Amino acid sequence: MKYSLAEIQSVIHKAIVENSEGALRLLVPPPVGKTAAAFKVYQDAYTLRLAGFLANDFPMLKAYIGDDRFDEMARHYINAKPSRHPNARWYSDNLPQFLKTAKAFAENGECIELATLEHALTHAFDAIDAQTMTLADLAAIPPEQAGDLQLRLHPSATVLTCRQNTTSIWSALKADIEPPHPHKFDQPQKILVFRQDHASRFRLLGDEEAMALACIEDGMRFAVLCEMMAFQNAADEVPQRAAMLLRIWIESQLLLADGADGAAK
Amino acid sequence: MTLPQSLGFGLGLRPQHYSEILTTQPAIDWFEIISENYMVPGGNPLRMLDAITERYPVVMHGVALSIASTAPLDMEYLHALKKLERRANPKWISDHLCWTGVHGMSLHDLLPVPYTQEALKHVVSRIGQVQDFLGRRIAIENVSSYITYQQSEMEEWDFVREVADQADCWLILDVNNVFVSGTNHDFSTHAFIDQIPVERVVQFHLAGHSEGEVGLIDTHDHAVCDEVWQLYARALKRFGSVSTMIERDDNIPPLSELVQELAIARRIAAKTLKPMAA
Repeated sequence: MKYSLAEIQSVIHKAIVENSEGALRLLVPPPVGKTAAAFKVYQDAYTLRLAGFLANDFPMLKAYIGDDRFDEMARHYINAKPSRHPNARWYSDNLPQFLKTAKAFAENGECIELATLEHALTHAFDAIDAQTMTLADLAAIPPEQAGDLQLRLHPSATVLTCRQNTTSIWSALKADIEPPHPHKFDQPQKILVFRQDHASRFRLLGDEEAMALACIEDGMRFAVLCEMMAFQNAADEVPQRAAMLLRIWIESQLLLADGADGAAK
Repeated sequence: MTLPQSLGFGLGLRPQHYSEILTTQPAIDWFEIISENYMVPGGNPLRMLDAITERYPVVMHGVALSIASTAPLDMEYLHALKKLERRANPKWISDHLCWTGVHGMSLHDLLPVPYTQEALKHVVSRIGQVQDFLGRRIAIENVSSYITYQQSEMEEWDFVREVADQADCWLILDVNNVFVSGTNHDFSTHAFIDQIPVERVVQFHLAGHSEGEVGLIDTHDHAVCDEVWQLYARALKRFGSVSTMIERDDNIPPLSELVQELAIARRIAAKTLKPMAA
């Protein structure tokens, strides 16, 4: 029977993804060994390669749960989420969301948070380039216009909510030491993930800074941001505290320069 | 048709070596980048690429064009490729004579095509579309393969030659892939090389491979073996001075080790080509 190119590719594709023998009838036995063994090279490579992408993007999660459990998780993810992008860079994008619905991780919130943190770090690493605000830019703003300033975060920045000691676990794994036991906080922590000097970073946020960054994300003017700070804490020190935050953000390359559109150069 | 001048002896650009390359500027004539690694929004990969392209000639080598797939050409991918081309200013752009998936999915592997007239016509047409879109000739590389289709009507080398001639594209002759496939399918590697048109080959690939259960596997995780060096010498005799590079994608050694391996290629080329030039 003669098959079209499209039919051949469809059968081969299905047999690789489903790890089935449906394609063997299309193949000539190799000089050495069996046809199934030769075709298995592609079947094995499919799983190994996709699992490798996941391991590359989530090294701390892998170190935390161990190779066997990670491989098991990868198998489930690969079955549920075939790659729909030609570039391997995007294959693991859905893993944090996948883990939220995975029964095997229902009791391991720290694993979901670890995956979310690693995903944000990967995003920060190659997020779009954009010119960031400098202290000179800030100094050039007339005081009477400061209230109308609408700050914008660099595209690499993400604020996460951690309900467990996930960052401590990440840091221990990164330092290759025994991670602490997972535990839940009484109050969730806010974590800022961002890119500074071309490297992905994260740090814990205090309540006031987290609130101020949320104001920026909501597009509020600087004057409104200061009002929110005054509402949350003592009003008389707001100018000093706001100035300090601005300085920290600018030095962290966190704020976009006026007119920067976040587009790649 | 004039082939681009040989770039000499190059390496695949890998992130592990960025810093050393930029600080020591080793004697590597050019670099080949994996296109997809730089088809990202921004950040350090593109910054490093900019720094490398300021100092070295670069060529772009993709793994996801899927030129032989019966799925529609991925225009989003092609636009990203063109955007990268504008940034990297490569000497040429290449990808593989393979398909990587259908039905909107990617297997992230380089699957061989059946060597049929239908596939030939299909691939030639698609290369034409890509070359029209990019506004330049591309280079296509022979892949390692582990299976043979019952429906194949011709030898791989005949298929490769016809693709190049009919699509008017260039070729990358991957010497290791010829050796791997020749071993797996028991064909003559010399016959393969002898049937590839000289006027089409713009680049050689060299790499290492592994031994699998039923043959050799193109893993790029070892040094180039003696048999592949011998085949490289044979290719040099036929094709003359062609841009040569070593690919290493796993078990990546220090840069100095790859530079030493590249020196072997230089020595073989000098020894092989000198008598021819005399």
